[in-house]
Amino acid sequence: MKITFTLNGIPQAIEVEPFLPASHLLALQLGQQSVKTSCGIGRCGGCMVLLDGVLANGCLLPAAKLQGRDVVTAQGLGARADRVVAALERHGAVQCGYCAPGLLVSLVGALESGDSLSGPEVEEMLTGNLCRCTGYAGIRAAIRELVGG
Amino acid sequence: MSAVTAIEAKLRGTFRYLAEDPPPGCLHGAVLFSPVPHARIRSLDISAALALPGVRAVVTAGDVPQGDILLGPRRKDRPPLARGVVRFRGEPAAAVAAETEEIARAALRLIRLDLEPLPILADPEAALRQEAPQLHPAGNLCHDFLYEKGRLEQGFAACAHVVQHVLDTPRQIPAAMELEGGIAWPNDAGGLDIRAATHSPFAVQAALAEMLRLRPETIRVTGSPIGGSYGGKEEMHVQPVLALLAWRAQAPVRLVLRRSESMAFATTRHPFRLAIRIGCDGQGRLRALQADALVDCGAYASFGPEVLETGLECIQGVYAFDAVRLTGRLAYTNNGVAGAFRGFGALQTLTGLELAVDALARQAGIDPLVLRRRSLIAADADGPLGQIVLPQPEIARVADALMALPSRPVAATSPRYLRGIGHALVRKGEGFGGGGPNAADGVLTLTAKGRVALETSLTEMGQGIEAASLTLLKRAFDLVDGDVDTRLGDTHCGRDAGPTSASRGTQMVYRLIRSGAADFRAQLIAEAARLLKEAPSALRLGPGGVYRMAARRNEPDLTLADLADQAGPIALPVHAPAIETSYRHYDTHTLFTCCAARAEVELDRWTGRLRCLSVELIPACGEPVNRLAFDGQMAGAAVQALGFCLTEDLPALDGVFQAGNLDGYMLPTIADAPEVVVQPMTWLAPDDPVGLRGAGEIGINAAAPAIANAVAAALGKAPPRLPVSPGWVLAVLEGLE
Repeated sequence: MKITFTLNGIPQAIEVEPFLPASHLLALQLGQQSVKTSCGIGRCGGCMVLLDGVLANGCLLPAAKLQGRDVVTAQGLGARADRVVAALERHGAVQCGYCAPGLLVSLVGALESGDSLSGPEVEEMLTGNLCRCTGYAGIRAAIRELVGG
Repeated sequence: MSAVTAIEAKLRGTFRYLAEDPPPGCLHGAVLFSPVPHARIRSLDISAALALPGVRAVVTAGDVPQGDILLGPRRKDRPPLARGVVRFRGEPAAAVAAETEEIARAALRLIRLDLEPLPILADPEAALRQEAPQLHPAGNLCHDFLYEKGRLEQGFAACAHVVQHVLDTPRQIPAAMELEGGIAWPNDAGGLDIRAATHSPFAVQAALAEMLRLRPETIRVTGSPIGGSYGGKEEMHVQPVLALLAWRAQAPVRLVLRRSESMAFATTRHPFRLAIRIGCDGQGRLRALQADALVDCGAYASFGPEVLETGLECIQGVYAFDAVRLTGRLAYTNNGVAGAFRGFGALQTLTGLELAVDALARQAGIDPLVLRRRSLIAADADGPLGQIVLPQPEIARVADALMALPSRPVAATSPRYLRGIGHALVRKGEGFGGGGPNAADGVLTLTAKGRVALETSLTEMGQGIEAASLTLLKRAFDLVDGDVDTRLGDTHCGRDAGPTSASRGTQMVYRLIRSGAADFRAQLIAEAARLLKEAPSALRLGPGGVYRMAARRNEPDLTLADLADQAGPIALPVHAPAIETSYRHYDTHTLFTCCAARAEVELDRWTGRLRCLSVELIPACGEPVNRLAFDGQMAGAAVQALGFCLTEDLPALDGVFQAGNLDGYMLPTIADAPEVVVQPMTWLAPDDPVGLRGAGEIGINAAAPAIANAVAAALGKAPPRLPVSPGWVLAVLEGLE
């Protein structure tokens, strides 16, 4: 089927297999290698995207459901993420970095969600982003810097 | 690329991992894995798969050019594709390369793999019974171990207190977020280029060359950067099958496993059943230790023999025993394949030892820290198996620092919860023993862009070797960001640095740079002197290039870029020799790293669930090269230790793992992560010839026994099985255990 949607602000009109996971479509056909498939079942958060501004696991989203939506990946966050990138970098929140773009999307999404969240609340929103390297210490320190507490 | 840029690129998703850049027209690979743990292959018919439009290659064991090859990081016992028999559920039997992933997967379903089930060796005990079917020609005992020192029964006779403890450790999995995968394509040299994560590019090159009957120099292996490994990508994973597909198809192929495939196929931590008997005298000094390890190897040797030996080498910890008897058996089973994983046997044995030490202290009514402090080995003691080792005067200081930690209140916030605090004091060998590849080679170069660079086959997997290299280059040559560079993880540099494992990466980089720094600096200055028509003694290196001593300028008199431009290539091969071990019978180490830990857990009396609240670590690794990266290694290790103790296991039932993805296998999340405090013991002996110790593995080896001991402290009883189950906690609270 043919779908139209915006990807990082740019309109797309493409032919897709309707049930292809959006994470595969984005990573393998649309140059979004920041959308990483690791578990494929919505557990690890490697494929996190913003769908009309709301966090979504790309691997659980059939490509057909992108019709008419606004999709933003880590590669498209731009200046929206500057403060968060700087904080994560300053606190050593990245080692191998494979989980990093998904984490960045989740953290930006959490901080932009409108509520003024506490540190523990932001952490709760990141329980769907697994990181095997850092022990989350740098991520936690960055969150403290970003929201206090 | 500077480290800062790499991290931002990783966050913003512009960073490229090895399987993310398929060339145009790249085929898609898929693997047919054995659906059963043990069977004879009656027949394997690929004709229907080959006939499917879009399929470009199907390979089976018969397509391996060196048909009888057996692979393995040390002991060679594993065919690249199953040959006549499958020995674990998840063993590759055939593979397909096709124009799309859908076609490749469809082709797999057309392969007829006719299997005759064979009896399943479900655990090591069963595998070692006389009547058990033999998985390998030499039987099911893959390796065994015996070490004795002193007279054991006399040693125990001198003890006022003796305890015994049996501990089962989990089948933990490395679970890197990046799945096993890669891309391979035929190259102009008549061989293959292969990009797939590995710790040992040259070892992969050699093995693939032998398998394909090619000259090694026709195979280029790029093994870095890696999206997480922890040992899981230390030996070859998809490389043999990927290389066979690309060779057969004579076209580029990308092969990336799915998580469910990875969990059946990839190597796991070795489950140990450890039986420990330990005693101390009336003065609270450890005197005698007996330990037996029964280890589940899985279907192939992998690093099993080395894991068993390292585990039993380290099981005496930092203590001086009069009498020791250590035995171990490593048994082949049909439970997947166990392999390298951070901690490498020492994690299992040190956890068992430290649980037993605390149990002994509880029984003897002695403060467990006092018991430890009284039992330490002398700084210049022989190694644990009688080998010659570098002196470790830092152990006593680490023990003192552990005792000096300010006390923590153990009171829980409500009567529903119960808290416990546990300690551990450990050491583990670093680098390789037994004549392993301990030396390293590399090249210091001035690149065409005018950067002083280290080229070596060591790989970056998130542990920070790139950042450490850049820091050390800046220090060694008085340069700044932008003046230095690295080229890591590739056979293309032609200089083998050995595996990036056993906590040795940063140490080798440090020693490589140190070994060549003076000569390479002199080479750069000599070239600059020629160009500037100055005496070399009148010049110095500084930010951006070469300065005249006399001039007080902020700009170099000759930039590194101009030097590179005008002088042409400048390169200096560098070499860091092995620190030789004197004792070759076992896989013994010469260099040991010490660490202490204190952990705090809270358990819920209603549910039996456990939380780890804090982990404090005192690693004695010298002055950290990069403090942020060093602390990051410790925090990551602490949470993997938490998983080992409290949440992670991949149990097998009749050779079938009981979880197939990360919904059934519980990796700790940010909500589970304890507060981690790192207090490095930077002091090493002033005449220490190495100057630093690796940070990779020592954190987990200290944190896990501390967490396990915290559970034991809360309940007054050492857990018999890790991860600790809430059911066991409740049973202990009910007085049923």
